[in-house]
Amino acid sequence: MKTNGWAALGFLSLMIAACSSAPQASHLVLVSQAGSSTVAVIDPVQGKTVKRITVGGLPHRMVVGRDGDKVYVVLVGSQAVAEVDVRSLAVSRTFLTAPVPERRNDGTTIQPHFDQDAFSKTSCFACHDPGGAKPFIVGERPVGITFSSDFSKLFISHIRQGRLSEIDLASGMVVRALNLPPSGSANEAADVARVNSKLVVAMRPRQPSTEASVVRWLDEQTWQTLAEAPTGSDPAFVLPLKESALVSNFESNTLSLHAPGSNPKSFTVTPGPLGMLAVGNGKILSLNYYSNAVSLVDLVSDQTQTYKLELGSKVFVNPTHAALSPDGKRAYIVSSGTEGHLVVFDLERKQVTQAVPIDGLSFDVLVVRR
Amino acid sequence: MKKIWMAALLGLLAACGGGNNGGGGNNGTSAPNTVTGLITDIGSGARLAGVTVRVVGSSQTTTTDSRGEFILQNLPPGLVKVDLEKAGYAPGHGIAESTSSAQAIVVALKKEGALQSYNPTQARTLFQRTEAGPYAVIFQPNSLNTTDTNLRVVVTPLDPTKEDSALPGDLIAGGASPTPLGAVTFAEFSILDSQNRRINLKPGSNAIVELPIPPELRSRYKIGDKIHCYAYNPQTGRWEDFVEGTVERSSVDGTTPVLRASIRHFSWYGGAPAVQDQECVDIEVRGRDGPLDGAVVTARPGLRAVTNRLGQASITIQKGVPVNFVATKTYTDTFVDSRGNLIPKPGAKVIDIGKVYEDDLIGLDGRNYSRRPGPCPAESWQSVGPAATNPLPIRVAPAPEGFYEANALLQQGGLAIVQLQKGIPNADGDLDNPEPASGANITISDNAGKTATLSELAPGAYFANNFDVEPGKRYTINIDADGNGSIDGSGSAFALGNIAWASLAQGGSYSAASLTASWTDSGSSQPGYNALYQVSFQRNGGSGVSDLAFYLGSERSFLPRAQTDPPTPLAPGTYTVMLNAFSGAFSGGDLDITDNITGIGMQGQIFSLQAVNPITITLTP
Repeated sequence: MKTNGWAALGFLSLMIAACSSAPQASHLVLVSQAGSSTVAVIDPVQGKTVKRITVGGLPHRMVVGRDGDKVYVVLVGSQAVAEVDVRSLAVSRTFLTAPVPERRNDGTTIQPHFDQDAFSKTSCFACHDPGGAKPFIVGERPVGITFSSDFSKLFISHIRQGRLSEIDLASGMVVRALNLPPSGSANEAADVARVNSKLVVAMRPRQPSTEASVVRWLDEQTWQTLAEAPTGSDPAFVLPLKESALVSNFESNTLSLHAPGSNPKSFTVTPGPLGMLAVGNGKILSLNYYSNAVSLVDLVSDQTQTYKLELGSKVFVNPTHAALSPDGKRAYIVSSGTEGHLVVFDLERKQVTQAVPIDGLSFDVLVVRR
Repeated sequence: MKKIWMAALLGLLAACGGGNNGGGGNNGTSAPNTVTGLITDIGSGARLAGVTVRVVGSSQTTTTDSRGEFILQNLPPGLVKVDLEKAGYAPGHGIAESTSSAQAIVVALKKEGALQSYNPTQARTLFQRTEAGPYAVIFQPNSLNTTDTNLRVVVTPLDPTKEDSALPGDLIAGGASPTPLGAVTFAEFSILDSQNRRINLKPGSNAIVELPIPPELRSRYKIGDKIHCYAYNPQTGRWEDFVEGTVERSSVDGTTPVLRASIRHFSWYGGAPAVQDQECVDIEVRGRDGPLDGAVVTARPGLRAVTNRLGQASITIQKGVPVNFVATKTYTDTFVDSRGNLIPKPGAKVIDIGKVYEDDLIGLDGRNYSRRPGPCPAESWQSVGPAATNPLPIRVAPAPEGFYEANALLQQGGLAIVQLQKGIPNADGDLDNPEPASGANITISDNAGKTATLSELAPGAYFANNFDVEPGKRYTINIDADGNGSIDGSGSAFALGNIAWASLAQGGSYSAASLTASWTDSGSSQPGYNALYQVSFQRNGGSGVSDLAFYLGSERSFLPRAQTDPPTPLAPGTYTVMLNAFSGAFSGGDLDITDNITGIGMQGQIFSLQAVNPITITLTP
């Protein structure tokens, strides 16, 4: 009797334990939260942020390493990249994408850089953090990021001066850098992607502008220009495809498909295309920032269907980027309005099924294994 | 006229005085799911009757009464967004929560800019000029979503350093961990067709806008800097469509630093970077009987909070800049009797309002109010923890029924003088037959913690005794016009330093081709200091385009050239050169500056000015 009672109590406690620990997803969703210098770690089953990782100023684009164990976050405001260890969900390293300057544009010495030995730091966030040195946003403004063919290096494009940097991941050092020559007034390297052994760089004029940008193809090894073609005035994102690259023209309602030696092909979506996500079967999900909508674009048939991001009466505004769930059935979309949400979009039902509050003005999203 | 009363006051200085308080009474009720509102004119402070109030997403509509107030009842729970419309004013918008007790929307409307005609088949730059510079919209041909060729364009500028209360909604990057946005420069853009319908851009088209950086903020934002821009979305009640703009020289006048950005939807639009340096301030809202539960407090730049049963809340603000706190408390089925008591009365309502403008949180009474680094912990306003030891007090009371105009002079090297008048505003917002307003409680503080309460020397004339105005420092005045304990209006300005010519001298001779005019200002070394300088070169006896050069701006040098295209050297001859400096708001000469003392039932100007003696120079070829 007594034994049975203890057994019953033990069973009960197991039941309680099972009930009290919420079910966990097989994967986590990472969102770069530009306004708070953090990456949010979201459990999509619990539907909430389970951790916030402080990474540095203005975290934007993110890429995940080949083994899935490291995530690299571009710190637009800190002239650096943060390496996040997926297992510990902590920053393991940071590395600068350009040298810390000794002088200002007017030629005067930046004495605090000498006083604080800024040249030994691996992120400007070490000093230029909230409440720290002013200004908060500094440096060459890195934006685009892609891996080399062997995943041993990162290529980083910069807005200011159109700089392209190559970072060796073993040493964390910049091993090559070049201010890309402008094309007309297009002198800002807005994004970089890799298609096989070629780099694709979107060069744009200083914004706002109505002048043309260009999509430039470079040899990955030599950085020699292979081809160049015009595109809209504000290319925002380059999505690498098998032999080509799809570019979102943020100032318009078009995507343009570029391949070296061919004329670009245009696809019409709705205003403000920004991020793009390949969702299989030759289809692309275009995140249309100014339309509060997504478009499913079939690159083969040239058919486009557009869906508003709504759940009940709630409208999710300003989608920026998306990531695919491991089963390929859902897209996690960043709604980047001042009231931020991670929106779950069911790709079969073509509708929003869930929304998780995140920080306003978030930007990119990635899925990592748990 | 202003100079006359100032001169009269300068001869009166000597005594002390004071005035204070009212109050006492019982508690009123506050109905759930109810939103009240008070709508005023940002320029005059006058209450606006006949404003159409529409609840977004519903058919519920009402109109403001003769006191500029409205009430909306039986609202669904959640965020309530209202659109406000009155002929002659730019569209207004407000938000409040429909919750367990009534909340108030307190919005000021701004008179719309001048109507300009536009044929959308043409490329065109349209602009509205203010003391800060030209606010412009640059259209590409055929970019608008209409076939109507007879459009009207209205650009309504808004300088958030002076007209913060006319900005729609909350300037917040919200979501899981809200962050304040720091307002820089704004405008409302309306495009109307022949049938008065609002027109917008075609899908895939955009326009470029240029918004001047306010003079007070020019030391913070340099050419080439990036500033985050947003458009207000009335449907969601949020600032959205974030895009980066760049600080550049105005394409209209070539000199004014402007925020240049692309716009995709015509509405309220402007620049407001996320605030990185934040601190958490304890506040306490007090009413007739003491601390008030359920009062709503908004801070700009900062967040929104609701007080607990101790009347306290913690609110996140931007660190190191002047912050505007506004607290409201709403009672329904209640009115206020002549002694200030709340009396039950079905159908009546009371909106208590309090306002504090703080430069540094050292406070008007010299107390160092309790605050902590970083944003407030989440939900801190909801918990009733131990009482804060030294919260910033905000006293609320009904907004004054009367109408006041304040003029405050920061006399370089010495004095602070305020003239306060009461009267009835005419259609232009000016007072007809004003009378001196006695019994006000006016305080002044600098940005280093020095404070004083002004004494009433003569009816309506107030003077800060033993309070030296120092060159280069920023001064803030808070005015409780009716002496009931709540601040009715406030404003701030820098006291000018000593201004003197650097590159020119009386009787000097200079080459017109290489002429540079530069001057010094002893206040310029103070942090954040900003002044506007007005310089004119006029050839004696000349009236042609090559006989005149003019400058208005915040730089301390310029190249005097004839306004030809391209600019050319001035004609040789003898010139009279004038140099004036001013800070804050001052109407006079060729300038008509936006008021910088604002509040409900209050308008006015706080300013500092200096005119350097004119000099005569000779220009050679």
